[in-house]
Amino acid sequence: MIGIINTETGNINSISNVLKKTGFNYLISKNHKELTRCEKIIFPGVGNFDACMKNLRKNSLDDVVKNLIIKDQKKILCICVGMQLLLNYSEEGDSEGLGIIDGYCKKFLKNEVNNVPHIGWAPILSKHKIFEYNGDKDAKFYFCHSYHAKITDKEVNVFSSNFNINFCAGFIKNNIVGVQFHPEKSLNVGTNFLKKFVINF
Amino acid sequence: MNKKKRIRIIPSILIDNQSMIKGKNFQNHKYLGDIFNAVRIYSNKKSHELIILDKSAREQSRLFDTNLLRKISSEIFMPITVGGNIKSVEDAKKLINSGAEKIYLNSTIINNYNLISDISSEIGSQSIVVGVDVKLIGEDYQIFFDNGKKFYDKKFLQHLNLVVSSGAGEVILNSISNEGTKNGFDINLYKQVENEFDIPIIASGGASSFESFIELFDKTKLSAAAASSIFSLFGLNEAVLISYFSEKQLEELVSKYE
Repeated sequence: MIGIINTETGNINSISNVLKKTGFNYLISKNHKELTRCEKIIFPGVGNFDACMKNLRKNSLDDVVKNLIIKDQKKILCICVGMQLLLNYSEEGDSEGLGIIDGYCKKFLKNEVNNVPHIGWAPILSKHKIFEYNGDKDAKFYFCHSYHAKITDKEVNVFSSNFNINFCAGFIKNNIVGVQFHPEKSLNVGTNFLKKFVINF
Repeated sequence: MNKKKRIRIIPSILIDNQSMIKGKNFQNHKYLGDIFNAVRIYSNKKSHELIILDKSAREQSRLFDTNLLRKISSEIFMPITVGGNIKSVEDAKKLINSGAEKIYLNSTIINNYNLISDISSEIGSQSIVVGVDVKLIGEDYQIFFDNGKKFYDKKFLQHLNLVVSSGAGEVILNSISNEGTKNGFDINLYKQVENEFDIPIIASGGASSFESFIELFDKTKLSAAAASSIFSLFGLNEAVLISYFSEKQLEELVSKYE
């Protein structure tokens, strides 16, 4: 069973659709007890950093996420703003992040990516044995973001992508996978990524 | 050295309830077929994104149908932008929660730029696309809304500046004069805005062939374009044929600029 944390703001429907189509059971919940019974967790997020953080606190989901990751050591996939919220802070707002991974979110500059937000399909580089991607044009993911993670945590295994500059496309640390791109919106390449998380990670 | 561009070619679908329709210069819409068939083809062909606009939502004073969106997003796993009479933050959130990656605003922001900032502070700029429909009248581009029926008495660049400063993540700049004509993109229009803004400007209106896109990307700094006729009508008789560039063609186009 895959537990999707019900953040309300995230596009939960898109993630559950992919899981349904690929034949995985899932539940959507805000309840820590329910989520601890799941083998793996997905933490979705779309939206403004502060609005997402405020919404987490309102529903006491900040503690739920921390407990699932730190206390329960659940394997968790954090998507887009869900990934960004694990960091210390973001230039997008004033709220503190969850501070689980050392780092922050930095706004792209126009001269780095032509246009901000950076939107489009890009290959990624990752040497991780389960999520191995060598920048191949046949495996592109969909990105839609103005802020990118600057990770300072030395124990983190970073996925990178490039568009005039190199930027963090995601990372893995112990039980945590964080991605800036949207696997749930990335056609077959994205579905395969989610399968790797569910089956192999 | 020229900066790399991240190219996006986006089929745009106009619907009336659940039917796909297509007009010329925003008029004389004809029925093209079932929307589900079309979105499946665009997904199988790996189109970069999809834009789905419900023309009748505003006429019928209702929001884009969230049930329809849920059905579509349960079948295709790709970024979809939807538009149709989005009047509040709640409307925007409903559509995002039903599977939209981005929402499209046009007529509801006329004299109401706060709607953009209100929605942006909840769902983030990157999920807001603002459509601006313009027509060349004399020497100036003029803005129209309500499916091109009403004139908006505001200078074109002033409107764009307000849209961008209010928090839009992208602008689709649609040439009413070129829409549905297959005359190519209105290069002069896009030259006027290419250096003005940080956010992506998406060209729309008039694409006739693969070469139309090459012309746009060669002659302007834009990196994204939307089109509908070329991806839905075929030949002189304009028979309905839902299509998209082949993977090979698309890769050729994308790698020319990356």
